[in-house]
Amino acid sequence: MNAWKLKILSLSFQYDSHHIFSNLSWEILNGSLLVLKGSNGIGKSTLLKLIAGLLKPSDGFVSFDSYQPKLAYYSGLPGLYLDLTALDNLNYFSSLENKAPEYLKQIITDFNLGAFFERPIRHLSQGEKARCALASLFLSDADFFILDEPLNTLDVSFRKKFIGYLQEQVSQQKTILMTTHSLEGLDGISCFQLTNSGITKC
Amino acid sequence: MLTLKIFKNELNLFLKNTSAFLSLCFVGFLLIFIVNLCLRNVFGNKEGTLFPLTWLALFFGGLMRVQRSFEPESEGDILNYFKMRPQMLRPLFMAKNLMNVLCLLVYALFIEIFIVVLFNLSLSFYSYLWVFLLSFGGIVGFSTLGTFFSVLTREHTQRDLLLPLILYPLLSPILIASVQSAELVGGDIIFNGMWIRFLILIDLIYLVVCYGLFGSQLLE
Repeated sequence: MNAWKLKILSLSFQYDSHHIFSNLSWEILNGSLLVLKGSNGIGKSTLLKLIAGLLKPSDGFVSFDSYQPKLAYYSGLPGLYLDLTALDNLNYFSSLENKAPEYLKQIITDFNLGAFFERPIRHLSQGEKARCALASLFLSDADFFILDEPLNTLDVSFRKKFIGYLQEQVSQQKTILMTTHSLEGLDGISCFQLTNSGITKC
Repeated sequence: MLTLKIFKNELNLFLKNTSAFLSLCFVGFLLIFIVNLCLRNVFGNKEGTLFPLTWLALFFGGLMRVQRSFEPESEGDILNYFKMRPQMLRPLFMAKNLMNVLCLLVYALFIEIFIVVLFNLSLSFYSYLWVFLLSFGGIVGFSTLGTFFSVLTREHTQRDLLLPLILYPLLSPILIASVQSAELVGGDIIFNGMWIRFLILIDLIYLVVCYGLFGSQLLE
């Protein structure tokens, strides 16, 4: 696994004339699980989109040192075809990622999708949709997972299982950055707070 | 290979949601029916109406189809996935375009049969086959442009108005070339080689330009 470092330097972003944040600097090393907290509207989701390369900064830069990791991004929305079943979606994304069927089976087990994987995404609850979306995300062989409030709609038992799954991924040198409002069950995980004055450790 | 995988998924999506295609056919049939009702006594050369009427239905029906090209991706927030994998953007465009071409071809087939029956046209199978093939020539350019611009206008609040406005000037050469490429006199077809060559050329230009620019335009 290649080592890399994410460098955010003097990052500023504004939508039209509305400043979201300015002069933000931060560094992330690979193989870590990081939680980013912050009040509503402070710019957590925007920061994740900037890191994922889905938005362009107004000023400053986001860059990776030495190696460009493969990224995967969860926006909180399904990221799936609503008219297809969970299984059809996972089959499709696993074929795009050239994954073996055994890997797909493992993901279905890991994310407890067995009970509803033959139902169209449109007919699933928010929590079930989130589980399918996260499962499809972890089908990719990304090095860096950027997750925007992934725990929001998960039930207590799956939330615990999912945090364990994330820790397992980190032990395989994957990097995970996620935003959340609740630190419940996240003991021992590096926590950062995004405020108007920058990013500080919780 | 990627194009094929995405196309297979497009086909799957199409089969899971055929109501959009049925409403497209309904609009096309209604349009032809109204034209027949209003203008049936005006037409001198009845067979000569097949090309223009096919394109009238194709223009409006085609707009409905291409406008929805990226609806499943927008609805499910899937475009971010493709944006983060730039190597998949061109296969995505080709698969979408292929699906639109296929869908519009089936639509054109139904529409042409409907016109033949409704206007009681006497056409040989050979003439009918050529009408269909020349429609295919126009559909390729139409679908290519439509697919390209539908992704660019997808987030615009006035996209229903914007897309036809952008498309119309660019589609005019295709519409003219397709209608002028052959003429039906009685049951026979008379080809116009210059317009057929022009149609093929414009299809190729649109295909190359849209294929080349799709990725960068989507990432902008």
